[in-house]
Amino acid sequence: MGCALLAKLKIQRGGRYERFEVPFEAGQTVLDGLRWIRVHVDPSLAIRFSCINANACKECMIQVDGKTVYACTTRLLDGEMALEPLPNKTLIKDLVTEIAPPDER
Amino acid sequence: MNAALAAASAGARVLLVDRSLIGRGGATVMAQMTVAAAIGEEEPDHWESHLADTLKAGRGLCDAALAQLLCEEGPECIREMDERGVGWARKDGHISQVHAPGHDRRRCVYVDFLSTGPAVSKTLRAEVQRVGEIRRTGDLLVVDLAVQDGVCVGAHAVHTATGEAVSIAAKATIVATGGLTRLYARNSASINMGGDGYALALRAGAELIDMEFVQFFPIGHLAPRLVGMDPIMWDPFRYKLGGRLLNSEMREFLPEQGRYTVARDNATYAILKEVSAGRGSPHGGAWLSFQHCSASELRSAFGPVIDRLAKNGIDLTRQPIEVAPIAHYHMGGIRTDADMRTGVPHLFAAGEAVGGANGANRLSGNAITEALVFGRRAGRRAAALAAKTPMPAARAAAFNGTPASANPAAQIVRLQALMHEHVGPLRTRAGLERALGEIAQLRAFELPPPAGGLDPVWVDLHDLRNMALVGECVTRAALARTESRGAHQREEFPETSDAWQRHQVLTLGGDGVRVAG
Repeated sequence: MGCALLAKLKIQRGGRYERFEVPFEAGQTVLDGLRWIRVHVDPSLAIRFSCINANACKECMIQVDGKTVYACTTRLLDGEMALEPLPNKTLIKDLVTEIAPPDER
Repeated sequence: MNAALAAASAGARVLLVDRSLIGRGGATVMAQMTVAAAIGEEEPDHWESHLADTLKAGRGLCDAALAQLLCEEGPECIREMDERGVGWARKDGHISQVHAPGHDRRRCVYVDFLSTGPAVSKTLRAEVQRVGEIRRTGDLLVVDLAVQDGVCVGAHAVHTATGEAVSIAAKATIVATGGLTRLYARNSASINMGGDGYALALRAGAELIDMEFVQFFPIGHLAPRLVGMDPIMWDPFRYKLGGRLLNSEMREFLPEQGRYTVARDNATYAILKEVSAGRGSPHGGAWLSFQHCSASELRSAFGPVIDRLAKNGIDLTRQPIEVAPIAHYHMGGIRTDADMRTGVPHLFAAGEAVGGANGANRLSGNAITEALVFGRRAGRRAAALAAKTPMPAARAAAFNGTPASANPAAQIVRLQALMHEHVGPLRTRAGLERALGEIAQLRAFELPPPAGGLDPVWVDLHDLRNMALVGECVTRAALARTESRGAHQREEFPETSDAWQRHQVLTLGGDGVRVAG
């Protein structure tokens, strides 16, 4: 713990990518990193999540380096990671997509 | 969801609104442990015994009518969930019940493995999908209740995905938004547990009760970093396997002898006392060891969970883990009668949003029971009232504020740190007064109109507005109660006082939050 690791997150926001550098401790997750960005750098970054850590709500699905994952269970890496919204869902903003069943909108 | 089901089966047309996805967030889905009800499958039981344990745990402060409702109707609701296919764990042809701290016998049902809450949520989600009278709408954030001549006539909401304001007209309204544990830096909460329902009810003119009683769960996971698991996961481990709580000297400091018997509030204070005496674990908690268990015992008790731990690099046969108290549940909430009616006509409450049933300390296993029982009662009573009420006109909301200058996500983190430090399990006058001063600064804004499209900054401002108001309620009630009882411990007043065996009631007036009692 406590070692100075740095994740370089390349986040798709609309038609472009923005880069953020996120300091983290070993074991922290992509969702931890996104929440860190919202608190320390840019609160306008949009991400959907509910349960934060338990992987109970299943709301935080995004693409990391081209693979569909839960942000809350994917570990941050000491290096570059590309974050994108789900490609097969309607984009709402940044990493948030329309994932509700059609009869719940 | 149980309120919606009860209202629909009583003949009402129901609109079920959630600020994110329906039935995904909230507290129920997070509950990995057990549900208490006197169904008597494991050994003979009666709801009056469950009530006696609930009242005892509540330290003389339970609302007797609400506590009785919880215990008396709990068994019916548990059986109803069984019929809906929730999958309570069974052995030898009957529902399995385990012993949990504070209960006089084996009373708590569960779903393996660590799946109680997700199974309850999933079962209810499937039911509400099946019932045509329930219209479900997600991404709809209720900003305020609509009140006309003192009567609740619906709600003002914002569709977060588009930023569009939505007016909802309703003959009867049920608040079932859960508790406030997100107010604390260390919590087991979903993001929507920021006390929304308390703030809505308070601003609509309802009373809140027992707001000073925040339950800390003594053994929340602290270290090493664990992902994809709920921080309260060690509770079922302790039910099944005992486990030993150790300080930095690797000495047991609770009179347990490896059994899980000490109530939550007492365990919380014992851990914090060890930490403040310099005998805490490296991250500021206590060690929890299952090293007395063999690999095969662990495997048979928790199956796939052992693999999830292994993926996190944890082998319980070789190492203890670190735990610490985390905000887990709120005993206080909206004041209702046993028909779940608030002080505002046509406004009901259900679940953790209701205050009073659990007094100063909640008995473990009572949270999902109360969610089911109070939901069912509120749904039935709201449906009956709606049947004889004409549909009110929808009313538009007014937003008077201007856009934020500071980062509200950072202000929320500041509020959480403040609440944890000064309004946590151990409280002092100086700390509470300091918290009040800082909360006043955080509360000093009005909500602006939402911008077009999804606006996370506006959503944070909305949350900050409610969290700061509710944080002030907890702090003011804690400052006024000059004794220690259950989840409320004042360092200057360590004794429980007979004169304080009473509720405090909070209201919101033109001059701010008022505490009476």
